[in-house]
Amino acid sequence: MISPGDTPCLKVENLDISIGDAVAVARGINLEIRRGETVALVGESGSGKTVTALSLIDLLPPPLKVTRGSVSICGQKITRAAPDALNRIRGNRVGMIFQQPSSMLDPSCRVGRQVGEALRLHRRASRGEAFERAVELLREVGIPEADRRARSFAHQLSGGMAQRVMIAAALSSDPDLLIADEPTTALDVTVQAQILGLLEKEKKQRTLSILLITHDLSIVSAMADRVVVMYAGGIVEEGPVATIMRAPQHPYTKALIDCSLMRTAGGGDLESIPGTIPPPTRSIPGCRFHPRCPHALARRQESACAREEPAATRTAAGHLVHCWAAEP
Amino acid sequence: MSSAASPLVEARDLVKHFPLRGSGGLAVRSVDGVTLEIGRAEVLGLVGESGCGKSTLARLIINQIRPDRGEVIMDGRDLLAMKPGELRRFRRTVQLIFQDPVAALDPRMRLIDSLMAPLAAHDAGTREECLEMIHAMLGEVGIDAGIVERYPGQCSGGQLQRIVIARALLLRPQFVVCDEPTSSLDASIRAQILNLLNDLRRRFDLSLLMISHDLRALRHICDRVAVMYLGRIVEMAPVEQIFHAPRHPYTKALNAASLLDEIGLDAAGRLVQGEPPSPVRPPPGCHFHPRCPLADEKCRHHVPALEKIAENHEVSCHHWRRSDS
Repeated sequence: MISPGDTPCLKVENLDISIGDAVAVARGINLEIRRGETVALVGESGSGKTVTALSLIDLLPPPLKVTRGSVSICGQKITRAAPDALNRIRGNRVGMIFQQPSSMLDPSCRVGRQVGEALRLHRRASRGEAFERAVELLREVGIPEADRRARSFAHQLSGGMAQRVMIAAALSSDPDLLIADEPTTALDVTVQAQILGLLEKEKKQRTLSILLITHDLSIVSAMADRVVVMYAGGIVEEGPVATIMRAPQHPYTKALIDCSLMRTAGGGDLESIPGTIPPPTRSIPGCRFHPRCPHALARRQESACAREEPAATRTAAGHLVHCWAAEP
Repeated sequence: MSSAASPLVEARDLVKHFPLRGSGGLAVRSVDGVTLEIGRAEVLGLVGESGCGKSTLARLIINQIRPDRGEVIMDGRDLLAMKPGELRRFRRTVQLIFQDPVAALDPRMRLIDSLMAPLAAHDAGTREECLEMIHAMLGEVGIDAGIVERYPGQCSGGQLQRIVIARALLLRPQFVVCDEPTSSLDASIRAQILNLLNDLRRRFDLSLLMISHDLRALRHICDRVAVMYLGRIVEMAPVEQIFHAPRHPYTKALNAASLLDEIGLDAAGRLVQGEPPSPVRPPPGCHFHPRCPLADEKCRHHVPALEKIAENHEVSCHHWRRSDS
């Protein structure tokens, strides 16, 4: 689907992330984001979505490290890049926002200076220029009285305002790719739609590519073009948002949608997935989902599901499905 | 006084302000005149954003903190007038389930000891009798009895929440307050726990107060829902009314926020502006007016009363008849 010569904004190939050299917390991750596309990375806790995101700009805290595979942003390789090359890519190509905006901002530094910091470092802007540009950015992300607010400290801002400041800082270097890790999870529900709407507006204006990490499928439906579903460190299904939500093909994706509270009327039992999510340290032979899989196949042909990891199958709907029961 | 027809819990005009030290008389106005009832074997949902006073209201209802004003009648008895001995017997009939099961269990105690503690505190029987009760209850919540020899650190969040629920039900309470019981859990586990609570409330004829910031989580389990905003109840109605025919603009906004996939970001964003103001200086008039698309001069000056607009449906809005928001 990508024409030759059109370099994807993000390309991840066969990435493995491990704790030290022993335990793999994410395995065989393949991911591609085109220019102007929003891809949602979905999964429950322990699925490996946050470590995957951190590995994209080489921010994995030790002892976590990439043990195999590669990451490229706009055609430039991140994996094993030299420190200054890495800094140039981070400063010019990528912005990142996190779940807890107030804990990501420096409490002792005025927010205007923080928003302008990347310009000082990467664009050699003077202090005055950086501050002026920061005020413009704060205005752009919908902060009222931006010139006054630029002189505030993080604790003087509400959660929604702090997240707007984070977005302004992430956009300051005019990135191609924005990585948003649960950007609205810590915010009130009525503020959530406003922040997501802001991301959507910026995406259109700047032709941003967004990697949106979330566990909330209603956000995925409202924001994403494509969805990548992770379970216990591996991708289980990938495809366009409309068909993933309407006709999921991996049993885990289906179960996740069924228990998401999205389309359920009151009364009656909710669908649920039996068992618990395995910790990343537990090794499970075969398909990682097979002990919880409701699919008859997992029981009938236990040999395959319990012994061998399923390869990816491209289905008629254009999904990439890692399941022994998937039909091309 | 206690008859089958009277509600189990009646809270009347509860007020609780927490003074801010050194502020010259300012206070966090957490609960600002709340009246509600919870029927026998009824599940009432309490929904609102962080800081709206929902947890404080729950703690006032179970007499964990004393209100500045108002009264709580439980099973026909005035809670605030109870003597210590009576209060202790009362506490046995009321239990709490919190958001984070990890924080609710002592990390240095085996689960069995955590389960034993409330039974011992209320002299529920000999050790053998208590163990028997615990094993029976573990069966009810779907936990393998072998797990209780473990420490909390050796269990998953879903298992711990089941243990917390088992502990709350051991003393056979009539009334249980669940404060965001599923918000720290993953989707697949959340559904299991909501199903379990739904099942247990029927089997034990429990009255529940379910606190949540997510309307969707309340839909399955609640009979009625009360919507709270900055210390006041703004709408109270049977759960399907709240979802299908909400009248208060804030309820509509909450509803839209939980249905982003159907309504879309733009439409959901239009229903409410800005962020919840501080409960220290709530806006005059209707607390919601600075964020409300329907607000006019009247809303800025006059507090709307909680008005009964239909059987079982109360709303506090000057413009509840308008359907254009």
